[in-house]
Amino acid sequence: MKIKKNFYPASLLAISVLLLILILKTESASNSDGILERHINRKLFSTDSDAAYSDSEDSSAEVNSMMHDAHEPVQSHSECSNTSHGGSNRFPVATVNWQRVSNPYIIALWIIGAGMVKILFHLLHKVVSRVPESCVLICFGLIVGGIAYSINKNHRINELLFNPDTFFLFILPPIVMEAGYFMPKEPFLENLGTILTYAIIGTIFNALAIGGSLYGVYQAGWMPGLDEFGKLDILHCLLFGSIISAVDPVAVISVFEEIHVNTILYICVFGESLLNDGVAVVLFKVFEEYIKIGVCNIIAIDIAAAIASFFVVAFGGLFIGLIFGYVGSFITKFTVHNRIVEPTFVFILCYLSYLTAEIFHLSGIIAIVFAAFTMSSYVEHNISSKSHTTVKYGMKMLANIAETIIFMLLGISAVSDFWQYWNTGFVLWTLFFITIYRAIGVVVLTFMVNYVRLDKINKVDQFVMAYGGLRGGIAFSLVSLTSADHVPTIKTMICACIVAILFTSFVQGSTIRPIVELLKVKTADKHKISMFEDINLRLIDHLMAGIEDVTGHHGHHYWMAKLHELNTKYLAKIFTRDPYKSRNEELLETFHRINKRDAEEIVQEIEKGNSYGELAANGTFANLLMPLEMRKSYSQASFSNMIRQRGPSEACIDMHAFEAHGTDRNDATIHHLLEENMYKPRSRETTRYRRGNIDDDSERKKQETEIFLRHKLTLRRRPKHYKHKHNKHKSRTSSKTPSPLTAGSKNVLKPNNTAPSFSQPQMKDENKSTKPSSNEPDEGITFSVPTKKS
Amino acid sequence: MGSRASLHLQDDEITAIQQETGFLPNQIIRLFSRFTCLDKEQNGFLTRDDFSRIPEFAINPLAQRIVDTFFVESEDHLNFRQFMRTLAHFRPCTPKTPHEALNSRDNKLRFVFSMYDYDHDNKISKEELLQILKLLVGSNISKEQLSHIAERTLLESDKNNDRNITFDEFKTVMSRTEIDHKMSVRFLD
Repeated sequence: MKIKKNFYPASLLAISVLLLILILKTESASNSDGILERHINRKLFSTDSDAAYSDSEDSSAEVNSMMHDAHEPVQSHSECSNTSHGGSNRFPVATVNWQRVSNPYIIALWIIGAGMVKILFHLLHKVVSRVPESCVLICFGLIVGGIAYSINKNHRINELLFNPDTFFLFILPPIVMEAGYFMPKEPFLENLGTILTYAIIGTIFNALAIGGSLYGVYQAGWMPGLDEFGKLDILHCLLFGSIISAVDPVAVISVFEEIHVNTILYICVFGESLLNDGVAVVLFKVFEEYIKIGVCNIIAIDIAAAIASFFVVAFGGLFIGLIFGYVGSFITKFTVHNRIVEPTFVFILCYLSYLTAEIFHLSGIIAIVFAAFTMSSYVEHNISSKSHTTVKYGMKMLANIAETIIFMLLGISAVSDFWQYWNTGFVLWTLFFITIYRAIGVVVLTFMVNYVRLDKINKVDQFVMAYGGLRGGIAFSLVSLTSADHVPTIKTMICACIVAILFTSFVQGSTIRPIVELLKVKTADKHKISMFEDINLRLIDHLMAGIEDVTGHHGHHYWMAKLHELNTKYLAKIFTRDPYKSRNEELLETFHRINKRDAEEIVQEIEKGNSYGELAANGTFANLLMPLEMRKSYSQASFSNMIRQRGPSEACIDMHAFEAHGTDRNDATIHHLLEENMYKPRSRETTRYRRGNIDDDSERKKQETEIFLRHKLTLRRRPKHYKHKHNKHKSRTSSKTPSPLTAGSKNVLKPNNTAPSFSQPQMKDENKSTKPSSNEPDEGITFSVPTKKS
Repeated sequence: MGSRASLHLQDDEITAIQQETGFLPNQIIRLFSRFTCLDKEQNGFLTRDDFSRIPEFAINPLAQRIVDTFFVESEDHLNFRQFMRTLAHFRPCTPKTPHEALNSRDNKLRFVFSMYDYDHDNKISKEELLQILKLLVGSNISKEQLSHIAERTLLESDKNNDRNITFDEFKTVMSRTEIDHKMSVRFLD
């Protein structure tokens, strides 16, 4: 069974690998342009137009080169290109132009391949629960890289995607944008001080300490054999230190999410790793610049300038990010009639913030993080829910693709010829220092931070934080982007970096989960918040702000209150379309949400086959029950009340039957019967297509839901004699004995007693083909019955 | 002026307060200077007017209720001991904090409960709940909606069907919330 399930993705994967091999093979055959095409063209057309191509090699080559230069295969179809070459070139039936699409084609194959690896490994549950996804992708990369390397030593798969431009302009932005957009706002702001301490001071400390220690060890002569590859400079070491101190959150965060660690630990690790990417890149650029200047030429002013530029780069990025974030929020205020462009604005403005920051050599990472962060708070209120879903999925998708590419390229790059630059001393010392300094950094900084914090970060959390310092894509990208001109020992550094990544990902990444479980790290309480709790929490927020005012010391309650005030009073008014819901008015939303949850729970219970009577009896909803005399006043208080008054099976009853009492009781009964048991006509599918809009299919959805619900209800209400006939199919629902409550109400409501005989045959018809049969107005939808009962 | 007032704080008084509330002497001295600073008339006690002069209280929807928690019953004067006793509820607590200490989890919860419980009958009635809700939300939510919310809240919390929320029920509701952390203020040394 399991093998069969895994068979399909596995076979797909195999096919994609085969395709890749094919591409590599053809590519290895064609080191200059044109040749590949000639090769393929000749094979393809040898039967069709043998004469034309067998004339001479030169002419066909000429045609091919012309085709390639023009980059327009259409030209070969046009008459003028034919005439220029006389009779040697006939009209081709079909042409192959591989070169034109090769790059995007390979990239697309990449992504598909990676996606299939993910599917495959998620089917193998045992592997997934132990090994983080990044490891799986690296392994896949290693396999592909191995194949590619064995076929063609100088394959250029990784160079295609892995040059500074593509990495910094296309691969990195989606990852950080997604993180910024989905950053939990309140915990982030509440712990901002802690996060910044870890991200800025921690990263700088790590970079300097690792770089300095490596240089010290090198000077002490404990790295034998390194001199063969080139001289190691203090600046080279510092550059490497800044590269290797970029901590990658992907693997850790996925583990954290699965086991719901407490919010503080989560947000600290998440926020730190996100911002420390920005810091590491800045440091990297600083040291790269220094190397260009040369170690002897650096004077005090350079160091001062570097420190100044650090702040300019960071805060400039922040500033640009905020501007674009607010611009984006403002623009989406006016998109009511152009819903389709909403996601575009969000994506492109975030991206623009990144590019703009890069123009001025500011931190693009910080810019895009804060642009996305800002937008997420206002855009939600402006754009439609569908656009919002699109934005969310789009972000996730892009980030996922980018991450996948990085990890797979990492695997591929690992199989390469730079292993001959391997230096055991350097690699081992690197591993030692990154582990030891991560631990020292976390402990020292936590000690500092705890002095200010109210809820101290405890020892266990510290350990997890230090242990979760995995190195990942950013470090690898930075190290492979450094050119050998500046750093002669870069190949050795790449070795060390890859080993560090593999070691941390595989060893730490796959043991962090058991360790977190073993140490009993405080997990977040993800219980569903109740109404009263919600009210209380709001009350406490105000209370604490008030108490801080009394003591005169402005702590974080004070600032959060100020921030909320600023937001509701000014910002939200500018940047959101509808009157912004202040935090307290969200109470109403909570109320609706909780009611909805109740409703869903009840529906689920019904679907499971429990009748209302059982529900009440086994106490699931006992707490929702209330004394009889209160029912009247509660009639609208919650959905559960509605259900309670009638019992679920009767909830959809059409109240017209009762309202039309007196004169024509019989008519009303029949009318009701029809209304209740006839399916609403399926509305005709709209065939219109507009690029600018997506048709609203809520009407159709509504109908489908209704059919579904009615189907369920009919099944439940079926009397005993049907049980025998349809026992096979619907044994689960029909074997239920009617609950006392429903049975009781059946006596009261005559229509239900006779309903099944009507509905049953009709349902059969409907199941075969749900074609529109009559033109009944679409009213009396299930559960939307007026509940007034006066 | 502050220095004149601080002279009134005797050492034995500090130790007494320290024993009662658990504040450190430095914190007590600091809060005492705040106390005298709030006490505009320099008469050694605070009145309700003194509180309402705090600028931020103008925007705090619960300002009145918070002030009420400081004053015992209907008294109009608040001396330093009482002031400190109220503030002691907001000292950070740990799982080791003794149950009877003012800053224990139980007492923090009791404090919140008393904010609801206007008539001190150890029960939160629907009316009391509604009053707080009215303070909490702006004018955008209708009375009817508020009433529904209050109903709903009572419904889910009221275990013994007496249409009131007792302190035990209140505790049950808040049992999974991180009250210790949420209701703590950092007092400077």
